[in-house]
Amino acid sequence: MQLHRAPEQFERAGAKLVLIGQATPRQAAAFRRKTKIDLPVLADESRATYKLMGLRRANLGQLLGAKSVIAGVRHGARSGVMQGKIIGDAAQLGGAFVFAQGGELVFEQRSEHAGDTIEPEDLLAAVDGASAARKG
Amino acid sequence: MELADTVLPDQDGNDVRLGDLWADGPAALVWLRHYG
Repeated sequence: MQLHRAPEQFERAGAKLVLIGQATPRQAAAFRRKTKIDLPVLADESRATYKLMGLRRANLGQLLGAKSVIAGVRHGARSGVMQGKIIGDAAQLGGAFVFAQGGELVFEQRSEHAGDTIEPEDLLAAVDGASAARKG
Repeated sequence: MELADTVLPDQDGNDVRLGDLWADGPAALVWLRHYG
């Protein structure tokens, strides 16, 4: 499963999947058009929520190390989306979090380097776990 | 600042309170590295 194919699967699981990026709403809209991702993209130009979630800024090795380069090539081959002009802080790393209904944090992943991305399957598994726990 | 009370604009400029995303069910939030 790739991110742009994930919305239906999250919808079936009764969950929301939302992206947050470090730029303006207009740039978020352009990102959606470019990637053809049919997901809400929130704009956090100040990166306040990145800081709140403890997401790191990478050093040079974490940006350009072998792990990052290999992961980037693999991602491009899988998704067909190649990296273009970077908008935002190039050193900012991402992450992924799953919240159960009511706000309990049930999954967290903070990227260790530029190529350290989350697989949507892992997010979906966390969502399923949160739903199952709620049903008892 | 509490995450749940944080409000961010979406791609259309509409304000979204993050806590509302998990009010009715689970929510997965993905912070992107960048838009490039």
